[in-house]
Amino acid sequence: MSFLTPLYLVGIIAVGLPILLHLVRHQPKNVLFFSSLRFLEHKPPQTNRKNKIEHWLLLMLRAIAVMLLVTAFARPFFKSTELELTAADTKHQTILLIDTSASMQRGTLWKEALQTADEIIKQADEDQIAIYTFDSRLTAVKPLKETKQNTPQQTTQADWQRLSRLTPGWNATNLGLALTEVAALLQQQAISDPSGTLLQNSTIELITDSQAGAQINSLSEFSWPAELQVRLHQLKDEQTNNAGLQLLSLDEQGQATVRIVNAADSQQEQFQIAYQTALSESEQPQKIYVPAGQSRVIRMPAVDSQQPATQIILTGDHHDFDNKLYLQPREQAHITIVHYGTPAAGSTKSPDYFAKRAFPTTPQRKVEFVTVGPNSPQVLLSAAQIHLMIVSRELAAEETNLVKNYLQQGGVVLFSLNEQQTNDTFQLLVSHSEKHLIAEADVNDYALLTNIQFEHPLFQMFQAPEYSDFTKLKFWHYQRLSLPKNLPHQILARFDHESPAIVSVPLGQGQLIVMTFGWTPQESQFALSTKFVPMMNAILALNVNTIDTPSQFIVGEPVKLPASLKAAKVRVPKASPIQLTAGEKKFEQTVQPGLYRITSEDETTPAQKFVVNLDIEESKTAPLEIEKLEALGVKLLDHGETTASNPPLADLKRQALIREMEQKQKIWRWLIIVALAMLGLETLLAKWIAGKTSATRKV
Amino acid sequence: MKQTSQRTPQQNQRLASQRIDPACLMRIKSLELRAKSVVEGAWKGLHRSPYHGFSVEFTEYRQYTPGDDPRHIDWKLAARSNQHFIKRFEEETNLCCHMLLDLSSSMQFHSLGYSKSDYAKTLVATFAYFLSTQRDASGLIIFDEQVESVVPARFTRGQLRRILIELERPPQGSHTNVVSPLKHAVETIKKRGLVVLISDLLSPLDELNTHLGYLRAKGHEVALFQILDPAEIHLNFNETAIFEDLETGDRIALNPKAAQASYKQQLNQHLDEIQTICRKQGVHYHKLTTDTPLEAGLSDFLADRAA
Repeated sequence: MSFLTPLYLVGIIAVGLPILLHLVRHQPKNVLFFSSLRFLEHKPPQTNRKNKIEHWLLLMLRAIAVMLLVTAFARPFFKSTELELTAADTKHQTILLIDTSASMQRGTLWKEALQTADEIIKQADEDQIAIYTFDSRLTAVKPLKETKQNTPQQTTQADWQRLSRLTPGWNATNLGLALTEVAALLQQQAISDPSGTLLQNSTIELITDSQAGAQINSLSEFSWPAELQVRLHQLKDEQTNNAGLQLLSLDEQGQATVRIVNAADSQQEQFQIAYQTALSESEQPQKIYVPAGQSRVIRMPAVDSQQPATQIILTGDHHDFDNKLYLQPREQAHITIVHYGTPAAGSTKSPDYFAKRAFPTTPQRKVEFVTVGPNSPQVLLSAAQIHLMIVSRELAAEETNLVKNYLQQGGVVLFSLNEQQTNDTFQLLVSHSEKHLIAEADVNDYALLTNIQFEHPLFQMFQAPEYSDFTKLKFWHYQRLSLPKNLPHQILARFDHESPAIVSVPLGQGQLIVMTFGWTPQESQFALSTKFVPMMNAILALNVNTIDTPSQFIVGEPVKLPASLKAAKVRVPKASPIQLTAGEKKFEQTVQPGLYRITSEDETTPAQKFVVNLDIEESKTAPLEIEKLEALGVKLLDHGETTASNPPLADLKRQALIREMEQKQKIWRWLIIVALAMLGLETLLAKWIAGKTSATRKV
Repeated sequence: MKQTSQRTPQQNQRLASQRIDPACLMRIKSLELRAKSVVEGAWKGLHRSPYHGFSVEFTEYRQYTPGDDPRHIDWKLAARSNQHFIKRFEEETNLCCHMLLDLSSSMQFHSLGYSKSDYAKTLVATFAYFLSTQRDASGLIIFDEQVESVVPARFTRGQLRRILIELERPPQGSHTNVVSPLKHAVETIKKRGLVVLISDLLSPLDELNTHLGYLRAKGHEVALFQILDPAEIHLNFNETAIFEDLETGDRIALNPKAAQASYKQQLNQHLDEIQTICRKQGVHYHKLTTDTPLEAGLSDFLADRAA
């Protein structure tokens, strides 16, 4: 049994009161004034033994009543296991959060970080230590779960070994994310903590250079727990001059537009930048004036197309880690489109006339549009080389097989049912023998598109209300297509007579897009409408091979791999190549800046090149204002301050728990009732004794 | 002087039946009335008293000197002889009685509803009244640890009134010092007379013997009335109690029954001592308990007066 207010137990002294009263009662109460005491000898009255025993009973009752009252005031309660757990598990927990972002490579910062970490580990000898590192993401070196397993000595050694293996990386700093994730982990752990004091007993030891470029936005969306405190060990390098480079654009000729960012605490304002080619040293550097804390955007001079520049080098500051910008001009994609149709020869009556113009060549892509007429020689291209097939005429049997094969291998085919003759070809393609599959529709004046599936990639770009108006698109002729139910298909749009207008039929690995109309002005307004070119290009984009892959990435950014890629190797700068397994969609090991090369094992396809550069935010190396962190709710501790020396919080919580427990049990009420009962009994007994005594006297 | 007659048993019986119970008497508020009641009750019983018929007797003439009371000039003689003479009488009063009354705190003790001081005051009033009726001079000295007030002995009309007024005054002192009034009496009373000391005499008797001797040596008749409460004599209290000394304020817890025997022994020893002193000095000693009718006291007084 424990007491909520044990000081009241001092009141147990009050038990002496009835005893004292009992003693006093032996003295005569009545005072008799007498003329002279000269002749009286002092003879103290003798106590009567019988009386004494009776009084002892009263005394006991009174004493018990007093003791019960005192105990009630001390608010007793029975301890539960919950409370014992609270008392037992009050060990302190330290979470070491070390910044391993690129900016930590500056000067002696990393050395200082390790020293600080070592000191913290030594100081927190008895405490449980978890180690996390962070840059753009949080990495557990020694997770929270492991902290309770080993003995302190083993732990300290293991911790030090773990720390010594760490090196700063090239990633950007997302301080906000790291803090919120650690706090969330602790909160999760606190849920299962019986004492409820885990957060108070945890300190996040944050070792970081906390540069201005660190992202802390995610803290604004996170409600920081009031009990959790962070001690910031802000590392500072004496050399503050630092500027960084950011590639804004790089055209096909290799001419770059770059932004130069100068750190806010930088003393230097004059820098030089220059191209560096693979073969030669840097060219004549260009001088740039960037005031501290500001940035300048410059367009670099055009480079020699024979010797494309691979890097841009910045000089003039103290730290080199962010002074190199890797360049990789985007390669022009080669797109081949095969159109089985009647060659146009300048006539707008032919679908070919419009189809050809729907796919212009751009700096990003070079389109080779091959029109295969009924009498043209066969195309000698493999399925992988063709990005889209358009069919707008009746196909010969060989051609049909070719298209079928193409579909089987994952190609995209656009089939326009513009003539009655094409119906047979379509039936052959879908391998269906039903004759009345397609029939000429009776169009009353014109038909319009309805029930358009805007979620489909074909119509996705028209989802916005300003583009979703298809009412101006009129169709004079179309084929009524009734696909059997056993043939899997998706109707993307219908005519207002419920007949399908655009249907997607998956065949093999490929996709057959069927338009039940022709796009020439004789048949419809489609080719002349604003919807034509986007839709045709959307169909082209359905082919996964045509997905445009960028060639500039920043560290930590995942690179989407082409779907056709099977087993491949990625050549990584300053490290051994990484083997990619077939079916892998993303390459995520962009851990350091440099040129990356993806080559297939058989090396049949040309290598895909991309470069990875440093996040420009890392160049903003001026210290972050701590007030910003505090403004976002993070509770920062001073260096001398410890959470361990702050036990009132834990104590308060424990006291609150005790109070709650006591209030639940309310033993004091029972004690008061028993005490009252005792006093009642005492009164009755005293009355009885008094009555008995007076009766004896009368006798 | 006058002789006391021997009372027959019949007389005593009659006297006893006519005596007033002090408890009843004390209910009378007026001290004068009380005294009157006692004296007249006793007077009835003593109508054949030998004190009856006192008169003033002429002795000689004296030449008038300025300052003498002109009332005492014998005008008839002046008419005859044309000289002024003053008549001188042998004695204006029979007796000059000085009553020394103890009103110390110990006299406040009571067990009967009235205190020893009440009884003693009534006794003094009775004596005074009686003396006034007998044309005797009476004086009063009230004392406790010192002499509190003095009414010189005279026989005048207002004397009784003065004495009664003094008696009505509330007591002030605490301790008893019998020596101081005796000293005072020795020093101030020039004329022989009767000195009546009324006290409980429970204080130490250190110099009582000496001072009584002085008084006697000056030719005074001395009577000592010791007033005691019956409870003082018997210590007949039932319950254990804290006994507080009325004079000193000392307290002792006491079981009276247990202390009774030794108390009585010591008290008797004290009383014996007083009686021895009185006997030695020729002092009339009377012990009066407060339940004794006052007539008894008066008769004792009469006996002393006649002595």
